[in-house]
Amino acid sequence: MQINNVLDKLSSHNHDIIGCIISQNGKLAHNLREPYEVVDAASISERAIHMLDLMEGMKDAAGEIDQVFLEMEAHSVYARRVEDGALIIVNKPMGRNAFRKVKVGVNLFIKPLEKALNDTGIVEDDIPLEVAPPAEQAAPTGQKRGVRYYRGVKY
Amino acid sequence: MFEGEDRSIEALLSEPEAAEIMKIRREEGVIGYALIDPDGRQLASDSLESDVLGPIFANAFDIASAIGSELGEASACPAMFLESASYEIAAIQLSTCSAVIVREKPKAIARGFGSANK
Repeated sequence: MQINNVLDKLSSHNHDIIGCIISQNGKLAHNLREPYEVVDAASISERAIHMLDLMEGMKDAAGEIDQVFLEMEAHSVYARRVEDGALIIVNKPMGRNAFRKVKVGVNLFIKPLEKALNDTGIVEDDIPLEVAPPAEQAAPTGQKRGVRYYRGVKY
Repeated sequence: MFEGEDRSIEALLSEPEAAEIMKIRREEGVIGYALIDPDGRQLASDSLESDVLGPIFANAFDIASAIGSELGEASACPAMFLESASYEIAAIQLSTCSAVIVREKPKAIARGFGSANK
């Protein structure tokens, strides 16, 4: 299966997924659609990989941290290390518990994705050619999260 | 780490935050917590003494907020959750600092007793 097909299947698996980004060896593919096609997917990918690399500092104490979930006001972002790169899933805003449902889909599609990465890799045609505008012009979603609590602590 | 000031969690956190941290601390699988200021200094900790923890999470929140900014987020990332094979780590921005809470996954606890498959 082609990488873009796997990303599309993964995205259509759950309506809370806005889109996916995959990077491997500096190459990039994504299926972010309007209004998100203007965001700088390469920058998001680089930063997510940077964060996963940063976590290597805790490897001795906590083992290899290969997954990160970020909760934000208008989005949630999941990043997972794959061979020589990372899979990033941009979601509608949700808590970590709600994300468990999305993660079921991720676990389903991670093997086909890794197989596609091994078989064909990311081809040049997958790389979006448009130049992303500055972050201030990136498209926000309409929906915002309410007040959230981790146990009883508001954040 | 503890430079002469009152670094008890009651001094660092609001009352509800401190109470909740203590409650979480007693939960099964929770190994410990650390409180970290925005510059990456470890302000207080319980069973999580590490020089790298503060800088890692201070940087991680910066990176997370940069990712949010790319997506059009107006405010900084308030929480992140990390996973390794054996641990879950929650990092949460509180009113004055960040709390990093480390929990051993139930499967990993069971493995310790030799009663679960990997």
